[in-house]
Amino acid sequence: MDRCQHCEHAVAPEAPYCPACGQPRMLASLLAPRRRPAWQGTAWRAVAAVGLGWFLVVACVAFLRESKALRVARGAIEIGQIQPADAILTRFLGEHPEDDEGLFLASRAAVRLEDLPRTADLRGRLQEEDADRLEELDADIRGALDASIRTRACSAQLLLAFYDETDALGETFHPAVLGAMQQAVRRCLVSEKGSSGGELTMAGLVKRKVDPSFVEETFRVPLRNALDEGRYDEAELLAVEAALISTDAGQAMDPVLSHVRGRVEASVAHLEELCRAISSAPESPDEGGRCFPASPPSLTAVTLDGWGHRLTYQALAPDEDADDSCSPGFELTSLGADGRETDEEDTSPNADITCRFDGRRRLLGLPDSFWRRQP
Amino acid sequence: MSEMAFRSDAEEPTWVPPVEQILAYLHGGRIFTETLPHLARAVLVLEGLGFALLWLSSWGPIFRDFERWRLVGATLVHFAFIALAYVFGRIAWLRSRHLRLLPPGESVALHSLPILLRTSAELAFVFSVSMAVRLFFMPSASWPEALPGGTALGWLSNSAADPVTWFGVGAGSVVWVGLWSVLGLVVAYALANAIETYLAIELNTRNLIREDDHGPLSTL
Repeated sequence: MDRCQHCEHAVAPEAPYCPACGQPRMLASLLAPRRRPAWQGTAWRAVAAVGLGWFLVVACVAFLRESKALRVARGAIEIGQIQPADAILTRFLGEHPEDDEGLFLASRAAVRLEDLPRTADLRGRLQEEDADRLEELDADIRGALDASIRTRACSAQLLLAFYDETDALGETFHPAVLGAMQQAVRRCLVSEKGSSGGELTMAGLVKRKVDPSFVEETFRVPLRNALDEGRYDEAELLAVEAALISTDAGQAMDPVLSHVRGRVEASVAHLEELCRAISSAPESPDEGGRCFPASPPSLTAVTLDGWGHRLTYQALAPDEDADDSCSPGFELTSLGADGRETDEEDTSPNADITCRFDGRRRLLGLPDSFWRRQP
Repeated sequence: MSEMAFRSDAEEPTWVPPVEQILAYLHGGRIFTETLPHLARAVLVLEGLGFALLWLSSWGPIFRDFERWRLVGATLVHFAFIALAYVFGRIAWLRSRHLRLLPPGESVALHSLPILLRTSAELAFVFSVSMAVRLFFMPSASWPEALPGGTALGWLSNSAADPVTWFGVGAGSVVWVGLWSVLGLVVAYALANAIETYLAIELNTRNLIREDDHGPLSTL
């Protein structure tokens, strides 16, 4: 027992106040020795064990995990934050110039920033450090170049400037770049505002000595698509542009056009033949003027145009001063590829083909000469 | 006589109105010795839970933002926060006990004031120390590992790569600790001592008067 320093009364050592005089004795109370509780030793040991285990886990994570710069940069590239990723990687490579993952990611960032000389440099360094990753990187670079060219506006200046810059990457990527340029030119050629850009780009590529087959292939696919989808105006435009850029390319389009031209020729021939047959048929009496039936004669049922559709027959209206309702002539029409009447006259190249017989002569309406040209 | 005695017993007052009871509760200062300690401990438990949640949830950013030596450093600092939180809680617990055991009397409020002053100063001091630890020793996530000196000293200061920033942060920490040490501890402790001295004088004076009434002093 202690004694109170004020009243000398006996007081328990851990009591913060004297029970007799009520004066505080907190200092003595705080410093009073006491027995350590048994549970505390166990608890402290458990806490220390957990803390040590946790610390070991942290230490392992700290030194075995990939660098934060690489993790952050990879995430940034994935979400399109290329500029920050590039800054992080440039700093990282300053400290770790031979880190293959750093070089790999920096190449990815550089190609997306269209810094192609640096991309080539980083790729070369990666090749020295870890050639196994080169294939993966090259595929990524190809994809990035493709995306970069595809998203460019239909401007010959922009497209050709980028094409020239890709020389820095070497021959490895030339086919991929040409493929992307081909897609870009095709896109431009069929667009309303970019056709001249596409044409000029292709002319620029021809000047840069690209393989002639490249020009042909560039036009062949969209031309075939345009024909298959019935966009005959666009097909005609593409074929004309190909011929303007290169005579060989223009000629190379002929095989693609030949089956349509063949159908047009067949339509013209069948129409002409049917027109002649109806106009000179013996059952058409000539008694002061011919008289043609109002309904299609039987011949029209068996004669088809080049597209396999029946030709339409229409009797001309009788003269107003004539006594009877005799039709003095008729008109035969091929409705073209779709076999239907349409407001868009030039949807199909042989929608214009008609043969009109007015009782005295036959007038043949022919399609655009482009579609009748033979190779 | 017996009738008078019966009347006297029957008229013995036993009832204390409730408002008077409440007023007596306040006047006697029992609110300080009974309510405040329980309230303080309840708040402490809630704060402890909040701290535990914050402490656990901070591991995510620590693992995300730091690596190598700086992750080790951040872990050590994070563990240090547990020790500081324990000290914080233990101080609050002990001081609430001091408040609870305060002897009853007319001037309980005056007796409790030094305890409250000391408690607030001590808790503010521990808090400022933890802030200083955070500012001085917690590595900065924005400070790249790749910079020169980044691996060895990186986690020892907030931004050692930039001396101006380091000085600014260091000075800021010193001001924090100094402010709370001087204003909090010294001033609050001085005030507490002054009050305690006043109360001791008051007690001594009362004892002297009592002794004067009963003997020794009157003989002088």
